[in-house]
Amino acid sequence: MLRILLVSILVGLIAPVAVTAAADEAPDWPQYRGPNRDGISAETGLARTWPDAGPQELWRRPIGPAFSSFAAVDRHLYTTESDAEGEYVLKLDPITGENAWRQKIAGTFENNFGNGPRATPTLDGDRLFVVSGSGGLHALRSSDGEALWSVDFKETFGVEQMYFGFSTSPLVLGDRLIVDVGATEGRAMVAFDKATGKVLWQAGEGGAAYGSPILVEVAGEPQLVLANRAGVLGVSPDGKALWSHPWAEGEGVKPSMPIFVEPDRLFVSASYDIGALGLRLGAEGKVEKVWQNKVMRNHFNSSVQVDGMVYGFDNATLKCVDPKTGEQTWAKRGGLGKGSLVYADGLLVLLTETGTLKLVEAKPDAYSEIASAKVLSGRCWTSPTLWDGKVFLRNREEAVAFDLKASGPGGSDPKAAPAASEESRR
Amino acid sequence: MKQFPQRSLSAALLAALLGLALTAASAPAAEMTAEQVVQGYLKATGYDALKGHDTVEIRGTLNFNGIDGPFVLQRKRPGHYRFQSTLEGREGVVGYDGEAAWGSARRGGFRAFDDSATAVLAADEGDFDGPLVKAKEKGHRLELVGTEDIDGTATYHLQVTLAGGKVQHWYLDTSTFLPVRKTTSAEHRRAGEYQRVYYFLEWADYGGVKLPSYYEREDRQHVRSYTLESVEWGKAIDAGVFAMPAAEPATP
Repeated sequence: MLRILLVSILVGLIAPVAVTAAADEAPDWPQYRGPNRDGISAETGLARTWPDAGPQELWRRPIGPAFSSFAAVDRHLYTTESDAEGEYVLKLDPITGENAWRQKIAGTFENNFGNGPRATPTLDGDRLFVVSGSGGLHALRSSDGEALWSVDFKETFGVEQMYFGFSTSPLVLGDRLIVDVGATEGRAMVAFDKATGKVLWQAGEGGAAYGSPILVEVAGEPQLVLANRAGVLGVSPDGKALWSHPWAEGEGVKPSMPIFVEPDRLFVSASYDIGALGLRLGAEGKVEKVWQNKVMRNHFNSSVQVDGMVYGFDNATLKCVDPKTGEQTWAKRGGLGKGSLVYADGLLVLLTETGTLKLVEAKPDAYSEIASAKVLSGRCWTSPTLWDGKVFLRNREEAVAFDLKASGPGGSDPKAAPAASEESRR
Repeated sequence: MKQFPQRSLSAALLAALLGLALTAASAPAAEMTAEQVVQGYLKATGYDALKGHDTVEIRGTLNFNGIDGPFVLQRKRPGHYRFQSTLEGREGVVGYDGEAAWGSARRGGFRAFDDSATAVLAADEGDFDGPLVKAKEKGHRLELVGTEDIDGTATYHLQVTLAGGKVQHWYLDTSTFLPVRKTTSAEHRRAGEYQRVYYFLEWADYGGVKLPSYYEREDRQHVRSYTLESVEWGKAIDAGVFAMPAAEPATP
């Protein structure tokens, strides 16, 4: 009884603060795929209809090649770009798109599919951590961009340059920075001291892929989970390898980030004709394969999990899949390409591979598109960032921001049809 | 005499009628043969018009992993094929002159396809009419596997074993007989054999012949889409364009 009373008092004290904070400032999106690295945003109140021209555009600006998405913290955006001289981290004003600072971090990683960094910066207090396309982990001061320390994966761990570039976005865990380095001899996952860059521990096998580590809790215990070229592995926060599960077969397996489905399921997917894997995790490093099939082949962008169902791109088919069984409930094909998506307010906010922004209701029974507008062109492989009712998008040449809360002129008119792009007709 | 309650009788009658209706509706599917499905396909795609043409040139837009570029596809009877595309300033060509297949090499120039890849191309893209037409004469074997739901569309699943032994799977809409999907065998230089998948998403009539006006193709992680913009039947096409250019041979 006393405990209940204490909890009630604490909740009563904390709740008004939380509500005030939520009203005053938008929740941060401090890293790749959002606060929990799962592509889920707490945003609400998104407009359900758009004017014919699409959602209200806030700004549009040139940006150099990179595949990084945006991190949004303390009313600033962070991303990367490249030019012939090197790779850079940018701090932007989210309202105007103008640079606050631009800091060079490395030489330019070059690749047929697009130059520049792949990873998204991770913000932690006044520090920013990012990995260059050529495998350098860089710590910067977020207020002014000053370089604090860096670690070169190739020099320090002897890893080879990957053809598709280093893609891992660092995960902050207390005083540690968890990174998918992909080195041999038990050094797949590495924890660095986030203050100094000193290596604290190394664990697991397998080369790096497209994904980044996630933090989950299984049977009351936290564990770090990573899908890489060898399989899927779990590591305790202090660096003890807990479990691993190999891919059954396949050349060049490069999985995207795993999806954790509470309380104990893991959904892992890879393209290259590999497919998806459903695992059940247990206490003391127990892992069990529940199913494996080709229902979902995420390439570099992961799926999202909403109400126990997974929505994502099976290469160029958008699907809804039950992660407990691996069974598909619907599929939508045509003009989407290898898109990317995040979730907010009952909606999948997705960007097609050729730059059409869509709102799709996250329903397990059928595909239901409610808005569509062509907003970018060219190769759009970067997943959307949602912050403060706005969506931030980019390709290899342009960055653009839209207000997703304002219906805009005609947007609140129920007769206003979604912009019928060439793609949305398919 | 035992009397059935009215409700039960109605339910029984309804069930019987429903059963009859279902049987009637499914009878054609159950009794179809591969040959009948192919006949439906020939009629749906306008084979009578197609067989009157000896050449075709198709122009359109290719999208490869998000990048658009123009393509030109040329075909000439009996078995000549050439597909040329330009993406971000880089030209790519695949050709077949009735004997040898070839394509752009990764490091520039052109390379000859091996026998296996040549046989696959000759039997599929290189076949002006496609492998379902006169399949037996070409040495292909057709089998109607059954009906199958393909992402919500009821289809006839035809298995086509090409003369060379490679297997294709065709899925034809049971109501239109137009293909909605096709899988073919393809080869990856490191990963080996894999399934290439075609998604036929829109069809249009081009001078009495129905062609997929928008379709997509997946090769492992790579996605291509094809949007047709013009189709010209009977265009004079020099047979020389189908042969591998002699100049600038390159190491495969």
